[in-house]
Order: sequence, then C-alpha cells, then structure tokens
Amino acid sequence: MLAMLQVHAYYEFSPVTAFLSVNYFDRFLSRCSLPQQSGGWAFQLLSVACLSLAAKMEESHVPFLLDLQLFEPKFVFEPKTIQRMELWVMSNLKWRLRSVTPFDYLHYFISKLPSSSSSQSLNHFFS
Amino acid sequence: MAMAAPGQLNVNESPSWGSRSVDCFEKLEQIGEGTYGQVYMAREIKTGEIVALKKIRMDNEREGFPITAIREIKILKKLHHENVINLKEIVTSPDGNKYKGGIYMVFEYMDHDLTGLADRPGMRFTVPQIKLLTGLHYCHVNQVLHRDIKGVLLLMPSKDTCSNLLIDNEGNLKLADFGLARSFSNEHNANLTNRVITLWYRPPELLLGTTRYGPAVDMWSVGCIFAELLHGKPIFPGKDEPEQLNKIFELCGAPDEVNWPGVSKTPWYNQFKPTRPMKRRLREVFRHFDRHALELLEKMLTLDPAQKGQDKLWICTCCLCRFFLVGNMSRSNLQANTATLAGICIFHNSLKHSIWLPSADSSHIILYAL
Repeated sequence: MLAMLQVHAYYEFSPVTAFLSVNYFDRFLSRCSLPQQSGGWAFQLLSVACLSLAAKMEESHVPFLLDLQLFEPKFVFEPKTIQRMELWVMSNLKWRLRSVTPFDYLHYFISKLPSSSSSQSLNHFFS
Repeated sequence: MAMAAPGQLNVNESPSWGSRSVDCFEKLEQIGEGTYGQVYMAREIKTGEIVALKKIRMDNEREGFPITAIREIKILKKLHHENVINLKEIVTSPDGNKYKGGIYMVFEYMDHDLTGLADRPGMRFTVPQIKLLTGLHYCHVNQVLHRDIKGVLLLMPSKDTCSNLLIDNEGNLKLADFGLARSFSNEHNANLTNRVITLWYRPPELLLGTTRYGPAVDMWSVGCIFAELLHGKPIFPGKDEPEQLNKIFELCGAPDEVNWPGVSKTPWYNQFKPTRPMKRRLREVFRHFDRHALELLEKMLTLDPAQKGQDKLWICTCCLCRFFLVGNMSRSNLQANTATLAGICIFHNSLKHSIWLPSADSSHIILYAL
C-alpha cells in the first residue's frame, strides 16, 4: 500500500488516482481472499494492478507496467502477469471502475459557497 | 441500462456486467475492424437479439490492459444519448484460463455506416447531420472529446478505415468507436497528444503540433464531413501531414498572426509555414452550396480554433433565426436548411444547451433543450 502511494507521488498522479486505487484494492479484498503465506507477493501484485487501472482511468499519461514498479525490489512482476491480475480485478469489481469519490462532490459544494471572499470561506469550510 | 428516476436508487440496473461469457452469443460474421480490435455481428442465443461484438486486442503487453479500452468503456458508460452508440455489457471468453482469454464489448447493432449510405443517389443528409451535431454536442457538454470523427472515405475502401458514424435502417445516426476519445476538462488544459483523428479530418492546430486543444478539434472534423456530404467527395484528401496542411491552406487560406493570433508559436509552424501567400477560397470553391450551409461551413472551417463559436457567430445566428422564424417558412426551404440552423444554434453560446429541429411534418421548428 505504501509502495502504491510512493509510485503515485513519483509520477505526480492526481489525488483521485490514489483514491481510486485504494478503492479498487479494498473492494477486491472484500470479495476475494489472496494467499496469505506468499510473503506478500499477492498483495503487491494486487496493488500494482489497482494503481495501473486507476492511472488508466484518470491520468493522461500512464507509464508502462514495468515503470510502475519503481520502489519494489522484492518482487517485480511481468507485464503479462499484471495484465491478468488487472482482468481479474476488473471482473471482480464487475467492471465498475467509475467509483463515486468525494472529489465528485467537491465542485458542487464549492459552488454553493458564498462567492464573495471565497478563499476565506473556503478556509473556514475546511478548518 | 436504465436510469433511475430523480430521488430513486438505481436498483434495476443489470447485474451482469462482465460476468457473462461470450458463449452467450453466436458469432455470425466479421463486420469490421475498430481502432484496436475486430468487430463481429452476433446473435444473443437466449433472446435472438442481434448485437455487435468488439474484441479488445491485447497485444501490447507493456501497458497491460489497453488504456484505450479503459477510456472507451469509461466514456461510454458515462454517455447515454440516442445519438451515441450504446455499450450493453462486457463479456469474457472462457477459453482455458478465464483471465487470459478475450474481452468483448457488446454494442447495439447498427445496419450501416456513413460509407455505404453516401453512395446512394438522392440520399438526404440534413437529418444525419443534425443527429451528429446533437450526439457530439452531448459528448462535449459531458466533457468528452471524440478525437476520431471520420466520414465517407470513398477512396479508401480498406476494412479498418470505415466511418465511425453508424446508421440503422430507421435512419437513426449514432456516434461510435470511442477508442481515441478522452475526457477533457476546461480547468486543467492538460497536454494531450496531437496524433489523433484520421488525417483527412484532422484540424490545422493538431497538424501544427498543438498539444492543448478542446472541442474545436471535433468541430473541424464535422465541418469536413459536412462539406464532404454536400460536395460528394472528401475535401482534404491529403497523403501525409505536409500535404494535408497544404490542402487546408489552399482552401482556407494561409494562417498568419492576423487571422490566427499565436499561430507562429505553434511547435511546427516554421517547418510547415506556406512558402507563398494563399487566399481563402472557401466561398469560391463551394459557391454552389446553399448560402446558409456555406455560412456554417465558414465558421466550422475557421483556422483559428479560438474563433470557432465567438461573437461574430452571434450576429450571423440572429440573422438566420430571423430568416427562418419570420421569413421563408416554406417546407422545402426548411428541410434543406435545418441542418445549418441546428448547427449554428449549437455554436451560439446562449443557446448552447438547446437545439432547433423541425417538427415531424416539417411545418415548424421546435426548440429542444438538451
């Protein structure tokens, strides 16, 4: 999970991408279980697949699968393997990758704020 | 996929997304090749319904599941419109390992594309033209750029260059093949690739290397198709990028800082800039077109993307509306010119969310809110 966010930061992906990848990760695990005694490779494979899917949903430039595995010397997965994992994740999520996130509401709420001294009220709103 | 009524949860939505196998369908024949996969005509065994199956090609291992497919699915699930192709579901092929086999997108089946119909003598194109603009406008309101609108392509009869505008036997037109489509957002103005859109329909700003662009790119394509339908053949059939730009300049004039502020700062301007001055000959070449069609074409084929849909258009729209609403309301006039009117209304900012269409008996014009 941490590795996922490190890679996310390295490529300067948007916050929505981070949110989505964690969302896919959670939703997948709530439907299936992964082998526990594997030394963690299964979870790492899952996190790479989730990050890759989220990036493809949100970003305009998406690095290759090998380049998504920057800080993970322990296991490096072949693109073919990740692609199969992506498919497994997507079919488990029933192809519902467009999760509703708080970001979808943000602009609506901002538009509801009083227009004058908007930055002040924003600070107030988020404090 | 049914939309829930306001205030209701959508509990009726089909739960079958991605869970069914391609064996539920019987392949009848291959009908074409999309941007990244073959398309088959198929029959659903249970219901007998005819559908189109588009196989997602997964050759490029380095990127995993293709981002073009992700974008196409994402965008099509967002768009529900009568003039945009409907993605019904996704099915997988179960051969051997379930997650290794093919993935298919299931679409409603459309009988024709624009290529076939354009050959028919006496075919009227006013209605498809309106539908195209309605569907496209709907995409743009939802912040989706299609980036691959192409038309008749009479001279390129190869399988993978067929038109993306599909028409069924009732004459309904739908925009399809969102393999190159992507979402855009006005705020971010991100760098996008300039290698999109079939060459003949690619606007000059992309040919000059711009990577920040908006809905104007699709509008240029529509303008090219509009002219193509009236003219009977593609208007800019370039063989390569330099020739394409040259053909555009020959018809629309050479760009300079006067008619297109900022053009000299586009990445490839110095490489491609015309060696001799060229005048805009659009009106001269297409002088046989209807006056209003020409007016609209002038606007759509404006070189400077920033000028498409600006103030000048407002005046022209007002004149046209007055012409149609007060002046000549004869039936033939109306039919021949509705496309023009509808198109212009789309451009005009304050009418941005509405479209004018003729009533069923063509006796009057109805204003539809989108």
